[in-house]
Amino acid sequence: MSSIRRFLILTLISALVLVIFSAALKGYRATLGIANTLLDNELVELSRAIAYVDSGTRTQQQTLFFQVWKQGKLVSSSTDALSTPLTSFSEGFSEVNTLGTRWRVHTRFNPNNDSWYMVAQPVSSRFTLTDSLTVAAITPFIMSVPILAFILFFGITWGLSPLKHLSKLLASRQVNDFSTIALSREPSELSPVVTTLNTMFTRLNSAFEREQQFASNAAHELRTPLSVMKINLHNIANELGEKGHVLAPLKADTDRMIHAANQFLLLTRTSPETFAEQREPVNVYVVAQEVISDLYGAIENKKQEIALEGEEAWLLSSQFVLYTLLQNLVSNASKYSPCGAQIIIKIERRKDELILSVCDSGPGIPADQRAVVLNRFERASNSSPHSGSGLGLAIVEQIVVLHGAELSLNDSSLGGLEVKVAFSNDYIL
Amino acid sequence: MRVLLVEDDRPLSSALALSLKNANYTVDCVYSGADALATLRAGQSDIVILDLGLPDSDGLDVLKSIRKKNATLPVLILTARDKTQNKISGLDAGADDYLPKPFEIEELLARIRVLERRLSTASHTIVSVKNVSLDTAHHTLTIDNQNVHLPRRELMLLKALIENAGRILSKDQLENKLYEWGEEVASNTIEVHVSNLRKKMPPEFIKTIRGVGYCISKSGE
Repeated sequence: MSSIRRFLILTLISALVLVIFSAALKGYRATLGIANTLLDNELVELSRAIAYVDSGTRTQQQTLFFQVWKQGKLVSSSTDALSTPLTSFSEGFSEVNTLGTRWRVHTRFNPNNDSWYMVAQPVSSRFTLTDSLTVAAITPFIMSVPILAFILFFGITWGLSPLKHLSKLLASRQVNDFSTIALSREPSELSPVVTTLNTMFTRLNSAFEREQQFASNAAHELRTPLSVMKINLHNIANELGEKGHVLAPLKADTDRMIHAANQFLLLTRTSPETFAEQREPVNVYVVAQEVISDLYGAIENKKQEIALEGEEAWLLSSQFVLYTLLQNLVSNASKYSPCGAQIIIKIERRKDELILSVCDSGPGIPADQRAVVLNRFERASNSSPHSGSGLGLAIVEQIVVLHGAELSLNDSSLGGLEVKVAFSNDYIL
Repeated sequence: MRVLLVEDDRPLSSALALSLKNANYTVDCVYSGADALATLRAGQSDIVILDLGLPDSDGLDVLKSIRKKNATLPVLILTARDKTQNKISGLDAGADDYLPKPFEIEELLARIRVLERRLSTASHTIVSVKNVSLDTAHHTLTIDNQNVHLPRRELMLLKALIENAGRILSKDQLENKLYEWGEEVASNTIEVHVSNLRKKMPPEFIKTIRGVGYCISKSGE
């Protein structure tokens, strides 16, 4: 099929012609049959009347009624019930009520012998006649309405099915699905749409791949020279011996650069497209253990105590994304809390949510600044100049949004800040 | 100690080589997987530091080729890819340790020392943390220069913890170590031994990180 328009016009017009033609044919035949029967009945009546005129014998059921008046006298009548004239003596058609029935009368005058002939027929039998004729003619058309409705329904459904197929394909697409669309029947109206969509999907896909590639290339391209800088600084400090401390600010800046580069890459890599691609069951408890192990060096350097409380819990997420979330929360807790502070990660499975919280005994964040803190690049005014790029909580928020979870900042039972992430049932396994 | 450094980024390679030389290692620098395998055929290298992003081949394939020929040669992986999956596949392919770039040079040197001690020829088999010293080759322990005798399993746990000083070892990891040494492990084995070990060590020497595992701090307090 090449065009929806052509298909619909051809199918619907031919269906209409066929159905209406057969309905008309059927009506014509039925009407013809009824008319024949009625005319035959008339013929019978006529022959009865002639038989009476000829022989004077009356038969019982007769519907034709006549009177013959000659010079003002009733000379012949099909019935004795009426001795008065049926109607006034004037030529033509008229209708009268007599003998409990309404009659249609035709009166004829013969001036040669001064005779009046009145022939009457009950009006009701004429109604019966026209009724049955009309019904016979209309019935096939009425019968054809459901057939036409049926044909229209299936014709339009079939004609528009490629459109429906297309919309279904588009509606059921995953966020990360950039594959091209193929329709089993591709009508001419839809082919430019499908072609344009496919071109767009292909371009989007390659753009997405480029972005992914960019993130991974940038990771390599930035990390390697930063590593070199770090190692060279170490080597120079070694050579300088006692004077090595003059390099401290340079070292700190290198660390900040590394941190910022890492955070930028994390923001890219926790994008919804990447996330949708990587979703799998992940044990939050194990991820938390891993995060604590990996960050333990820095935590121990500040002589802080860290503990993990709760039980194993599985989330539909990605290892990398959950790791990034917890790593940001825990390293923030450690960074912004003083030496010797306490940090607790809690995993609580509640009735319809999973609560992941990181509490610390640090300075906390004033209630009126908590919303501001969540915006990228902003840091709480009471935080001392730490080597943060300020992206940490923005990454956390992006990850929270990915999971449709809720992030809240509260006062912790340890005296500092509690960062709480509540995952809904949709993501809990 | 001869280290084979497989790193295609020349500035990184030369900076690293200088650091390693300063730490008294002999360093051979190669810049491709093929050269790495060719150099290893000479059998001179004691430890390999392998970058995963090589120009001619995937570092993991190089690692697999190394493992086919030499099952015990210590290999430390460096990578700019920090996804956990890379770490896992690196360790699965037979790496002994893993460091994501950028790293602290002290961290790299510490990891190399751990690998070095595993080699029987290593000159530094004694690990000291604070006032505790363990000779990992002869399994002798001294606390405040006094010889202390420990049961076999406790010594093994101590060795694992002290070799990884500053890093947390989970209960699972410690159980795996005991398995590797051919010991039977019951569900509470680790808790019992760590508890016994703790009584014989200086106070606060072995830390418990609730919900995660155990750790011996590197620094003195």
